[in-house]
Amino acid sequence: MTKEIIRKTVLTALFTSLIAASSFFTIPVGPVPVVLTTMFVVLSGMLGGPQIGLSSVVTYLIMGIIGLPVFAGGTAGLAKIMGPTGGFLLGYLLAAPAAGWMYNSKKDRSKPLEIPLAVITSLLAGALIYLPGIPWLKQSLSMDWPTVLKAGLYPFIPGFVIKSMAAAALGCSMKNRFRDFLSTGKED
Amino acid sequence: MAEGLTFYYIPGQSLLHKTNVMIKIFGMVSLSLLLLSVSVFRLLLIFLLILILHGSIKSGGKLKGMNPLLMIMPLIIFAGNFISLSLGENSDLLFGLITATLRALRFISILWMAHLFTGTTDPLTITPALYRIFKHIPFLPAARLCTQAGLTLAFIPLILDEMSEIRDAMKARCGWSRRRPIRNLYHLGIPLLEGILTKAESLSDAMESRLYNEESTEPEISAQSVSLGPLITLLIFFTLIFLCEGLTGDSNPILLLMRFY
Repeated sequence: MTKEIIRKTVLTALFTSLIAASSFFTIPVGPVPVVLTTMFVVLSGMLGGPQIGLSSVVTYLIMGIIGLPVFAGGTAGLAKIMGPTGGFLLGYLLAAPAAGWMYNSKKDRSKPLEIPLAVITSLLAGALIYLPGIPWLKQSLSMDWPTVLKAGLYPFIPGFVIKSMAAAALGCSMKNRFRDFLSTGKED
Repeated sequence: MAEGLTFYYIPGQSLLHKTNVMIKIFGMVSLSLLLLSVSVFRLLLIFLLILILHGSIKSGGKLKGMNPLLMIMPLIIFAGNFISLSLGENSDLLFGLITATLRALRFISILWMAHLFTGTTDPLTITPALYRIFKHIPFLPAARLCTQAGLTLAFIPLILDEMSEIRDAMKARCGWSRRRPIRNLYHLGIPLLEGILTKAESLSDAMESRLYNEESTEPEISAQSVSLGPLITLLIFFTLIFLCEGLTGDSNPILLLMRFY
């Protein structure tokens, strides 16, 4: 096993554990508490790249399916994936690689572009979580579109924007540190 | 700090502790599948099974120490479902009450099962069990996936503790402002990512120096692990559910009323 593969494996595990641990940790910013899971899903792609982002989410979902309490609120199992919020969990599979692809597509970009790109990336990638999530919610609870948007989208927009901004700021600050970690493995 | 949360293995000698991990995983997946569609009858049986399993653990009291937030979650689920099903247009109060109660109970049973599973399963035994399951699936990098899962299980308690410590330190220095959530997240995230990355560096250096590779010898399953008894019990339990529901199932108006998906 080469140094590069070991480092990628460890980094994937690190992001998986961040995603899992964040489901227990909430920030009360108003009536709806912000769960940090989506922020770390986007960050896994931004800091690790599309491949590591996708593997982190796949490992996270597999761990949840076999019964480890990694889904929001300490739940687990196929019932959670097939339940009303399962679409949001599957949306992670889109968000993490998309964030990695958008943020890492051009490596030698100029400094002023860095922050807007990070903000756009985290907003767009975060929005991808809702793409399968909302129709899935509608289908599983047999709701009409206005009701499903009221239940599954509108209350989470402020939290989503806050998390996206924080993910962009963290992505910009920590990008070089994570790149160094991965490039150390490539040198050998 | 985060010991009240799940993910903390409590050593013991109960039947659940000794049960083969693959059987436990099979049980978790199957029970989870059963909970996709829930009737009062099915939930009662599952609750009874979980209660018996919990009672068989001598250190069962310790497992009760859960995060208060997790205990509030069923109430939130009940309230949310009750409001949406009972108070809207063309809604039925009784149907809303029953469905909301069942959904909250389903959440509690999923949470309880997960809590029992992690509380009685040594994380070191989960990785080899996963490998034994995944190695039969073609095109799946089973060894790498299991290594990642094993490392994740080791990282989670560290991250939970680190998150709590950073947040407490921020509060102690009056740096936790409810009015500035982005700043809070940023100041929480930077030391967290820095700290965890440092640990990841040490871990990868240790793995490299020990010439870690994915093709290492498969660990043996503990000779003390029990598999036949729990497997038969599980199969009897599933047969009982399907047999009873097949006999009474949709023909019984009460069960039909109280079933949801």
